[in-house]
Amino acid sequence: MAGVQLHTDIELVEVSLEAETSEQVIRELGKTVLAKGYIDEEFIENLLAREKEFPTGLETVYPIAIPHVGGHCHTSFLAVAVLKKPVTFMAMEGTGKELKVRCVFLFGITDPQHQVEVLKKFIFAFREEENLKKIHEATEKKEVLTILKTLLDDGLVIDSAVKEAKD
Amino acid sequence: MFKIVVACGGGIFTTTVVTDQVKDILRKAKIQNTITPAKLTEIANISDADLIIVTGKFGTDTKNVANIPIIIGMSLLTGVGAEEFKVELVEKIKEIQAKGAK
Repeated sequence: MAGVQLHTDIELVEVSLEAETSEQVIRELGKTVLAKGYIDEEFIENLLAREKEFPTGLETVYPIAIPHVGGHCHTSFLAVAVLKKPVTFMAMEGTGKELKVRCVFLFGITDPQHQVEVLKKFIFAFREEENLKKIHEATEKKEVLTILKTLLDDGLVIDSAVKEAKD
Repeated sequence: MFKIVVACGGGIFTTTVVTDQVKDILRKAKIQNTITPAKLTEIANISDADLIIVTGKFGTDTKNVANIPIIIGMSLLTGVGAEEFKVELVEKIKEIQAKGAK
């Protein structure tokens, strides 16, 4: 069902993640999202293909990336990775400019018309240098969730992560 | 009625956010409008619009079948140059309207 909110939880947040490429980051986050049943397997491949054709790097004060793709998503979500070292995302405007990105926000959107408020909140929040700085400096997963909740308010639902058999 | 198409890579996230802001700008400028979302891959074939706003990669050599003007709305996402964009957008629309919009 399409909801107006984005779901996240502590398992959908990575901090101090080490990766060499944007694809690795997307696959790493995607794996967790898939395990939760929020997306089909096709989502990740479609997302990677889309990123090649129409990249999602945003040249904000601290460049960020907002990979997302339509379809194969059952629950709207936001998964976040704060990287130890930046990876390269191409700029969305298609100038071929390479952006060194340390914060990746992976979105699953079931119905953009319903989710416009939270998407707008996100875009406006991360135009602000102060907010970008805070999230780039976060070293704890909980901290990332707190920052996002403050910025996105009721647009974001933080679910209590169910511990699965992996431990 | 001024017809606008807003297009991005997937026609979802950025299109939605940009459309919302364009609506706002045009309400304040008192310009009646309809806005339709599209994907960047579709813009070459759009014929029923007065203006196309894109937020993403399109070849600058991209020609639209109906020669509809295309402007880049990235600043409504990054905030860099957003105020200037608002002014430019309204001016552009008035210019097109003066020539006779659809």
